Amino acid sequence: MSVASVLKKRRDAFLKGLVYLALSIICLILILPFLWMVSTSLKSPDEIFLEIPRWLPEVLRVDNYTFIWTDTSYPKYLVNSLIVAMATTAIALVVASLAGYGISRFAFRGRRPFSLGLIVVQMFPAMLLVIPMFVIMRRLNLLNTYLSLIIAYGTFAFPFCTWMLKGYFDTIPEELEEAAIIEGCSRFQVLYKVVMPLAAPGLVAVALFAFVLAWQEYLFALTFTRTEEMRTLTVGIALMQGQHGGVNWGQVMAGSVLACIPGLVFFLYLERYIVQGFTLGAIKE
Amino acid sequence: MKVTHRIKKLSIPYFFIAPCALLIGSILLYPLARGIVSSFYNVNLLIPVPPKFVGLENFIRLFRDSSFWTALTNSIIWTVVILIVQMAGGLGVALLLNQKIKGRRFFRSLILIPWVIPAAIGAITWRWIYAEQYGLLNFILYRLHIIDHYKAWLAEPSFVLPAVIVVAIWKGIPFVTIVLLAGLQSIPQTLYEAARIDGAGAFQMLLRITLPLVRNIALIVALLTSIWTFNHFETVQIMTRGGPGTATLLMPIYAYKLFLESFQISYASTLATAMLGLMMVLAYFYVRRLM
Repeated sequence: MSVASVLKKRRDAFLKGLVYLALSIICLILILPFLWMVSTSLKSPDEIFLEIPRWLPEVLRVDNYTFIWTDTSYPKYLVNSLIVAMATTAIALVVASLAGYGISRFAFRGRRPFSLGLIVVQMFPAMLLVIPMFVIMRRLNLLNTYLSLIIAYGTFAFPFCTWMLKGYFDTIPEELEEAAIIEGCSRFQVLYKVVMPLAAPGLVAVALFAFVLAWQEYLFALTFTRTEEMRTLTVGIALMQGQHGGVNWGQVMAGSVLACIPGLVFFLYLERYIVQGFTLGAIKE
Repeated sequence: MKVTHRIKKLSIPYFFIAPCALLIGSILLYPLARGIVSSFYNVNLLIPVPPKFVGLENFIRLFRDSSFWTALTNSIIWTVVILIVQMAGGLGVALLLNQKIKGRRFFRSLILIPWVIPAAIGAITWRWIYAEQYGLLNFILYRLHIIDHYKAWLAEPSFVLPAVIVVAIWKGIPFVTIVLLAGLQSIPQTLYEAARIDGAGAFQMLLRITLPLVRNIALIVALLTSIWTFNHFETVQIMTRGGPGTATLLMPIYAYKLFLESFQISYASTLATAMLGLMMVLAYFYVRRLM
């Protein structure tokens, strides 16, 4: 081995080490808030308010998790979020698979404007929608109901899911459908019997994506829910820490960790779909 | 018979998109139209008078409103700073992740954590980190001798805007990183090999090969995140509510104040319409890129 290649190998190893170091530092900073969230949630109050904060509590306590369940409206918030997010996702999946399939497979008049429209409407400031929706909901006596939130969440779920599913259907070859049509299936049957089973992984990914978006939503939930009974998780937890005088940070953090669960589930099992999802939406096919 | 069959065949796609189109039309476009129209009226839920068409009065009032200009300035600073740092940082991290190292997927997964945490929850956690007395940040900075006494990050006007900007950057960088990484990975390796044979250094390759080839996707992600950043509400609302004073008053926050704190429906709609106008300008460029 020549001197030059030995030096080059050393240099490469050094650079690789630098890359590792940089990435480790960056990742650490990015996940720090989450780690601190978990750490705080497992502490008793006297360990939370310490001059010198500790990462690992001396005494691991799950009190925060149990108390938030029994002593607060947290379970109610959770149920509300679940119901709204699931309903939104279910409706969005149906509507979006139909529409996504239509755009993907048919070249019809108005296809271009409709597709573009789907992207453009996702950019509207939510604020511009919240205000008139509030007025309309008020008049229809729908304020403080699940329906109001489901409708509101549809405003981003439908365009988003349609666009995602359209992109996904585009990747499924049409031969099978053509064969089914020749055998006499109607288009709806083709979608239902042939395409959907094939598209299952994509459907699951988009469904989870939509669920997480609905779960995380704050503005509409804050505006439309007026009583403790109907609050969703994000609004409920925000209220718990917004109180003046003595925020129970342990409980708030415990609630926060629990609220991260759907997102984490989505993330753990479908990490490559998230990446695919981002790139599908952003790169033109 | 043939004609009806043809009509039926041509109308099939419309049946597929009908539910979606109808729903979007009724729950999105209709309220949107009403909102824009409302900005030309004088609806104020606290003053029960019959709604009257007032033309451009609200817009004129908006121009004369110092809070509007404050909010606009803050929003522009907010959007531009976040955009620049996210793009630069995102590109940097993407370049790092693009290297052939073991455990690359592990790091890439960790990077996504801020995206996975709900914005509202992230804001709450950061509020705890920024706390004056027992917050983590003060402790770390104090120990590193970067500050000489604990600061109230969210209560001091000179620190609060940077403080919330940091949180927004933290939340948004995963998306930018992953998309840029995808862009980097689509650059064929052969280009780099050819350049290396020709004697190009790493920096030259970055400048001449990498940057031009990610330009398209970078522009798209820049436009997308600018729009989302500008419209973003929950982080600032939960952390500071626009305060102290008007230090972190952003456009959406101001609109919210007008809407749910003083119930000036029409005036708030006017502000939101102005926001829409700005978005349309940005959206125009994005759509142009996509075509």
